[in-house]
Amino acid sequence: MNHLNYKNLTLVLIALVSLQILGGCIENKTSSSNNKTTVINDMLGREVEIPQPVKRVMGVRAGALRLLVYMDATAMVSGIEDVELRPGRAYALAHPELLELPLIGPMMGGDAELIAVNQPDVIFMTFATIGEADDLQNKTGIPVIALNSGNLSYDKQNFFQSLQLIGEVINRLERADSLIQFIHQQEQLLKSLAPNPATHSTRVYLGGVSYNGAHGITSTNPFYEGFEMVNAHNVAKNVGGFKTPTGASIDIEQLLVWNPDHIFIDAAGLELVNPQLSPDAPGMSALTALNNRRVHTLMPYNWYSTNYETILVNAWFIASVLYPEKVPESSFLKQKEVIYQFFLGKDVSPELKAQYNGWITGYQPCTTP
Amino acid sequence: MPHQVIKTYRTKRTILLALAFLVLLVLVILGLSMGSSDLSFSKIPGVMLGYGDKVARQVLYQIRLPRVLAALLTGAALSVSGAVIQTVIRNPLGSPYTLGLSSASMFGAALAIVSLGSTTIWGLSLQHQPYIITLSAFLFGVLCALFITGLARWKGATPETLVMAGIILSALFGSATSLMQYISNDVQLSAIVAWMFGDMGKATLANTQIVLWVTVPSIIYFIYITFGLSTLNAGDDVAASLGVRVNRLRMTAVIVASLCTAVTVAFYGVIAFVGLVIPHITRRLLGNNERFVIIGSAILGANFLLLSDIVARTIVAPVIIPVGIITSFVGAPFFLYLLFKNLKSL
Repeated sequence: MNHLNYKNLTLVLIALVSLQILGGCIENKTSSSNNKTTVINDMLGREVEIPQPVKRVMGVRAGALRLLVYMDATAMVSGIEDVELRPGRAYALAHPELLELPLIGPMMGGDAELIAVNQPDVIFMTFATIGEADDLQNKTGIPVIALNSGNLSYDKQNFFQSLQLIGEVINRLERADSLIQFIHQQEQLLKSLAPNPATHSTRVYLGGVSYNGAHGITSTNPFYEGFEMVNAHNVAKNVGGFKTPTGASIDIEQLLVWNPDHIFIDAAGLELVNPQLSPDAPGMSALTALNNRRVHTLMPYNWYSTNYETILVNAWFIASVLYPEKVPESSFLKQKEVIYQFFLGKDVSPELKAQYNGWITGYQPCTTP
Repeated sequence: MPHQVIKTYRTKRTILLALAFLVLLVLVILGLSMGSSDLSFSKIPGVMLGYGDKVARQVLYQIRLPRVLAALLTGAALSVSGAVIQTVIRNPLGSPYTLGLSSASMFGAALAIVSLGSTTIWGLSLQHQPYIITLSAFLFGVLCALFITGLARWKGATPETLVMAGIILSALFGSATSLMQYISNDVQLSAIVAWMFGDMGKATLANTQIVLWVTVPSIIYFIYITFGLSTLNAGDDVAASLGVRVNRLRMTAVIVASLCTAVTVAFYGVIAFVGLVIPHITRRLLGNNERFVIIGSAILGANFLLLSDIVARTIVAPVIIPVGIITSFVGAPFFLYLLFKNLKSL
């Protein structure tokens, strides 16, 4: 019995060592050097050697392709994740040619083999750890540059840095700079509408916020950037101790207690919100905003990560509702066109309006038949 | 005459094992030959001899080979762990999952995913830590195993205690994972869901080597303790009278099986039912000789997971379905069959 065990043990150890050696050989075989390269530090602090010049790029995981569209690099994109075929995102509406590109696998990272065969010069990856970025790079043999798409409030620096990093890699730094400058200008314009938030007494609430799918009126964002940009008094701010833009679900009773002056609804959640705010919904008649027809809809801003340009447009819409004397409807329509044109190269608001009931003032909720 | 019967019994089972091994070799070749690129079976020998372009070498050595090796090792490790746990807790529905290990690992991963990017420890962002999700999943899996075995030892180490503690912890970690899903954003949620269904696509040469160094010595250890495991089948008293330290053996076996499972779950996600279904099939085919059960479970488990992975990669190609979904589709009906069969015999 023991003799047999030792024999088995020896065989297995030989197999183990062989596999280890095989692994070593494989790693040696695949490390080859390129002709002309340069080293870039990505957003996770990794040193990545990239070929020069970069002609074909790819964005994997949520929001990476959107950043490439912002950077006017659509023509350089060599493949897309299959989730991009689903409708509803502004950048895809602006660039339908992207949907004709080869598929590189499922959402949140694609398929390494399809990416390797596609052979882009560089892969941009969002929402990754160092380990995940290294794994994809080792599997495909293609440099992976990790981005951190940040947000338009407390993590703006990361958003800007991601744009600059893409600009550095694809040699379009001036586009990154002009985008950053444009966002700064927009923010200054919006802030100037209500310079002193303390004196502003109109109270607002955002409901029906989509996160992990559509949600009803109790789904809110305590730190909604669209409200922050125009210094609006968000009744849900800091609820539950949230300090970052994220979804939170409140008690419906709390909404009645807050009784906000204006209610904004994310249009993606309208189907669920409609019956909740319909005239025959119990208790809702106590809501001042509903009685005064101060319920308004916003364009959905979360779809495979944040639509930054839509947040800016929503902020202008909120400003047009809260400060109509400073932002008449014509100003909102103009800003909407300017923002989409600058970010995406095309004003896609008609297409978005055709899909969602966004940007409606005095929306009248009704029970969906 | 009895000697002849034993010899025939052994020969039959050895032939069955050899056949299963041959099927495994065919599946390995199939696994290496199938994929999204045009690297087919006929081109593989050329690539192995150094011909073929860079992309072909990359696909074969960095994508397909780790994937096939990972499926082999994970299938074998999960099945053997399940077989050993079923023996030591004397419960046909025993598996690393029954002991709450996968739920604990799942929670560990979900916690890391939700904390990622927004949490810093000692000034370091979690996102900057390589393999943080893997590490968190592994730690929670091991902690769960240590807690269960520790509790059971403290309370008397009965098989019932182990199973009950496992079910309770499964429910607890399941709820905690639901909480993580509830507070996650859409991107984090999709990462958690992707992690819930194990995927061999996460295999790399580096993580496969780690899995190799944990699972193979564990399987060798289980083969080494087959005598003790066999005596447990006859009851604790008989085993003790034969000089086996029952509680110690039970605890060590559960811990090693849990470790073995935790490392595969941590790297590739939760792959359900392999540890439950394969040991039962093995016992039906090869009988209750523990040595045959362990070796057979390893080979059949490797076969099952590799085949499931090939199906997952080809059934709606080029879209790849996580292999955990395939194993659940096969495993769940078998689980029900087993349940009703047991009810009938009562």
